[in-house]
Amino acid sequence: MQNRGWLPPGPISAVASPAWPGNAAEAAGDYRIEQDKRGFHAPPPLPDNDDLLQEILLRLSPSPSSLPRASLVCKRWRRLLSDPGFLRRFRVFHHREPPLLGLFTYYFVDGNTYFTPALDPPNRIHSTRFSLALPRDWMLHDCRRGLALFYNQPLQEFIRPAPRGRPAGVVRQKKKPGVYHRAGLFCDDHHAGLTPLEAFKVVSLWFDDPFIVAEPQVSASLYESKTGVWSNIISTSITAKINMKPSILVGNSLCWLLRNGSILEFDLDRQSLAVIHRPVYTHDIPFLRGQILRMEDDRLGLAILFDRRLQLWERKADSNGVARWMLQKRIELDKFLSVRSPLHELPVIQGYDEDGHVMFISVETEVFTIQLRSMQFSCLFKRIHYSDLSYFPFRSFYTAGRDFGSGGVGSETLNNT
Amino acid sequence: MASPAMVTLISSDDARFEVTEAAATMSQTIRHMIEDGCTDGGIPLPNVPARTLAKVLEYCNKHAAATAAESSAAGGAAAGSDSGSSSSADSAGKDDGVDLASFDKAFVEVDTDTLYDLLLAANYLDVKTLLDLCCQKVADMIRGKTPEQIRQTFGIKNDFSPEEEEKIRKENQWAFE
Repeated sequence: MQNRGWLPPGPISAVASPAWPGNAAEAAGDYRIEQDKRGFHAPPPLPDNDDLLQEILLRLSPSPSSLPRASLVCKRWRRLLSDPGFLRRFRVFHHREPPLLGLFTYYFVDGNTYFTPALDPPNRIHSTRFSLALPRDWMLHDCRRGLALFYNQPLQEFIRPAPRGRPAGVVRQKKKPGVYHRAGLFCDDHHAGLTPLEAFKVVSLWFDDPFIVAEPQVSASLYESKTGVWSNIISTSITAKINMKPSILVGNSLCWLLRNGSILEFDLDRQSLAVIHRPVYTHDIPFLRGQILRMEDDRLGLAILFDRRLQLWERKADSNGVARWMLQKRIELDKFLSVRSPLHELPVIQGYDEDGHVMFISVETEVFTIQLRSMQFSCLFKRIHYSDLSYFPFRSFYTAGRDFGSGGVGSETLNNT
Repeated sequence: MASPAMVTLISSDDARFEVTEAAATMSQTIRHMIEDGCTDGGIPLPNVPARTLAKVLEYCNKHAAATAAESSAAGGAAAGSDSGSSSSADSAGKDDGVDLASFDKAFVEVDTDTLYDLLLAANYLDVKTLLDLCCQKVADMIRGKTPEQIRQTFGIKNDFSPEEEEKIRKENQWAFE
């Protein structure tokens, strides 16, 4: 029978073999003597139990510097933190709160995708760590759960890249007609502890040009990584072009904003495609003046920016059970931006982080965030590239260095160790 | 109203504790012993000293009472409460939630010796919520610290050679800035 130490029936079995190099008690003893000479009391040692220690380390902050720092404490910690099983559990434990590492932007002029870090040191991931160096024509279409989806319209192929330009794989589809192509990414990774790369879906959309085709349509097909199969094609009629913004996941639907302010919804459960009309307005919503939101209880929301006034709409069932747009809130941005007057440019909405319910608004050369629940407003960074860009918020557990322990050749991976 | 079922627990230093079965069975270890009929003459817990057991039972009593209050408030509201109005029972239930969170927070505001004793006891007795609470408290002591500060906090000896340490540091230099 296995010797389980002095704690037999607990949920976590004690490990009898001392994993500490040398002898744990001796190590702690040395330290104590050393400290005592200097007149300090040595802190009591942590329980000598690998499984308990793993339970503790599992609860460390999910911010990027957290595990690299802890892995430098001693060999025992480094060994525990390098265990692939531990890293998997860590991601599952924190699956609701992967940190917002930064924002990707696709810059049309040079055809490159840039990463701008959003966290302060020591959690700041330098932009060069996510430099992708992809050939032209590979455009970022969506980011979710630590994965980025790129699409090459001429080739009609998708890639899922790891940092430093190494694609994690290519997904091909049969050639599709249509002038405009967009794609969305969905990951149901936290079920059964799967990594996003093991369980993701791609929605491929292609649009007729409404100025050429008399009755333009949008068509969609769904790819599932588990089966490697594209679904049957579904279509619906459409009257407007699509924006270059990433999709927003609302409930189990991926939603895209159309140029007339209406919303294209792909329901992942029912695999259906629908157009939801915008709130009643006379004008279209310009590119960076509208933003789909995920409101409370997974309701669909829409933000519209008029000059410096932000309106937040929510789609709710009225007393007759009919879904309608209702105005939830008006926000006067001047109240937040007044210190920066006079403004020569109007603010624009550059993106939205659906998990944090945070909107990115830029004015002149600065980018601000508004947390829409708390209305907390803060300056994020000075813009590095010009506006007219969509921001793709990127949330992920950053486990750089592949593992923290082996000291072997560790390639840098992105949330898929 | 029938008085609640009681069980006797015996600590490693032979102190006896009389507690409700509801509180005692928050521990899966004790629950299994009761189910196996090992309660005659008290349940021996040879790994838990009286000082720690008293503290664990303080936690179990509080949580078992809150669970009971919650279910009776829900039952009272449905069946028509016999003590006061159902609305006051509802608000009492909500207060308990806030109260329990602040109780938990204060409960682990202890010296590290006591915290580790609680951690080991919660593990041995298999009180999941208490184990979560203690592990989170220790993890919070690590939060935001440099490796050297972590070693100091927990009395851990740095067993890396300077070369090894330098090499690991270089792999993720940004994390130490």
